[in-house]
Amino acid sequence: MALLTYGFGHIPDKANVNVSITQNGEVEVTMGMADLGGGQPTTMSMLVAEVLGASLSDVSISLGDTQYPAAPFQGTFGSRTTFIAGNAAVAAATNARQQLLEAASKVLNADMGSLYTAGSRVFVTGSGQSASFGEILSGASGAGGIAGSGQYIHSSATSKSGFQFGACFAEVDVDTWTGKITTTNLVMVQDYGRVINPLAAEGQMQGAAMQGLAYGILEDYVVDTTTSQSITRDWLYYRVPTIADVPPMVAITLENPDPRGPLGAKGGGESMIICTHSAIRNAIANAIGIRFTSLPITPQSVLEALKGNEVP
Amino acid sequence: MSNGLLPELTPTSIPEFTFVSPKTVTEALLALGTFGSRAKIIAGGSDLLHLMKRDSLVPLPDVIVDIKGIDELRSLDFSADGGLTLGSLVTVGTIENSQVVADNYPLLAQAADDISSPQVRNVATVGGALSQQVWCSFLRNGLKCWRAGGSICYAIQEGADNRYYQSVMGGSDCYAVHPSDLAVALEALDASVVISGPYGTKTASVAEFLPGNVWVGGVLQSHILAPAEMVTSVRLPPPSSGGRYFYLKTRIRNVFDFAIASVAVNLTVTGSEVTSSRVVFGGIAPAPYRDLDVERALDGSAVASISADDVAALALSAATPLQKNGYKVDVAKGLLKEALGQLLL
Repeated sequence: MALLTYGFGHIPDKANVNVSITQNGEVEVTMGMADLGGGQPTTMSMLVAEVLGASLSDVSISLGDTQYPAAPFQGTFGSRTTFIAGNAAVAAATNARQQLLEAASKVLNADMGSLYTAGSRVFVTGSGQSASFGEILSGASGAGGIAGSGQYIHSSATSKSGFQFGACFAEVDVDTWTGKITTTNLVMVQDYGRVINPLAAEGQMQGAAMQGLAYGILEDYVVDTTTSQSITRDWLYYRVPTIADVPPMVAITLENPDPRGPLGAKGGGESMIICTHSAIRNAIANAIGIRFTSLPITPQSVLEALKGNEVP
Repeated sequence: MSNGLLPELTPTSIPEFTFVSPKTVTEALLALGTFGSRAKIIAGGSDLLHLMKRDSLVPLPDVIVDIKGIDELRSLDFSADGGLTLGSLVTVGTIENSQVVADNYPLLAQAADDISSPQVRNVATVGGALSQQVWCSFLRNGLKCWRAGGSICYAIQEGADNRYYQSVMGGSDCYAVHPSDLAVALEALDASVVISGPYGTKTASVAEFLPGNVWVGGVLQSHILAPAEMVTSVRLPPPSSGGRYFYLKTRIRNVFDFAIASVAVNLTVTGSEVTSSRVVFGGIAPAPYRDLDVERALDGSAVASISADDVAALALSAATPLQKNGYKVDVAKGLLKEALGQLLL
């Protein structure tokens, strides 16, 4: 096994997000964020829906375009999007909710303090009275659509504060005749602060673990010394893993809310890269008694080490 | 950027070519005979398209002869006394999924199953498996070596990274290994290659067809085909009763990767004795490497008396590894040990 700690979003940054509610009660999120396949649009929509008390099905999101506010300004990398853009999305949703409640207070003729939202409706505590977002914003006394916005500044102080923690457990088979290493099981544990989208969180752990596995036993960038040319220029020679290399995996998420994170969430897309290869390396040591100090560990590494040789 | 040693190689779109699509072997031979070394055959394209996209500096054809329309090359025929005939257009995927092959030549089915990826297996053909270019990482990453019009083998230079796809059994100008899994299994099954040319047809054993490194018309290639010739089929003798077969391959990635080493073992056991054997290694030499020392140790031995350890120790006695690939010998011996262990239970 191996442990990880990872400082996510370790560069000062900022993010702006717009959250509007139309007269039909539809919630529209706009942000320049890119969707790299980590589930970012769903995560942002869930954060906004949670803060607004809107049904997730009423939330739409537009992203990946320079006409939208930049979130994060520096881009989608460094496991920073949920934390930085998410904090701006929460701020924008909070701003939109404030405007919505002000409008609702007039339409429902109730104190703002007595109002709460759920399922895209505003309720008056104790009265049983309620109205949908659309009814509040479209009626004669309604306010029309709402345009909310929010910003999050990731300062040099806050950017030093986010840390991921986790662990990876690996089982391997090492064929001492051929040197072939087969990862037979991976169990991963990661503290996400608060999990916004369990499916995406587990998917990110699995994807990151495969990057770590590949770093450990597959991928090798080779530059030929005679010509100074790379001889691993494509996916045949540079062995990115395929589905046939994916071992059985169990992803376990832990929740210890981060007070600075959006609804307590931490960034965590890349963390599992850090410890998977170390866990595999330690499992190999457990299997054959050899602790390798360079990667990738290949049939050559195994067979030479078993004979007591340096890898030439 | 050229450093004087190397010409520039920029991946580009496929250069222009004339496309010929014969419907019969006779038409194909006419095209090949007419255009000579300017022409190349395309079938599945899993090799030629890489070359055409300039992954290497191998001279490119300006005439492509597409043989996919020649239906007679697609046949897979088996009879108990005639054996198996595979048309050169039979795909690796067809072999992998054929019940006839699985029942009678499991070695061939195992080798097919270990080739590249399902997508490649669905297009790659028997003819292509035998006549493909080597997949040396130096050649395929654009270095101007013997096979690309140069006069150097980069893989044998001091410090060169020759861990994966270079020979441990020596070379001749070129030190790349032959990449085919199918050819290894076919040699173990004593297959013969049927070649058609302007003269008619001739047959060659797999070893004769694949000398490893041979200059043909100024081009260094693995096989003996002249520009005017083509492979039309491969014939396998009927399976022997008492046949025991095993194909094993070590690759680093579990799919879409060439062999670090592979072994094909074909034993005939009569009563309690191994009466004949063919043992062929792949991924370690410029051609499939038949190990006669191992065969001699097996032939005539009682199954119960054979020690897989002792036999494997005899294997590859002629090995001359390069600076970084000595472990491939161990991998190959390990595979033989494992295969014999399975077959001699």
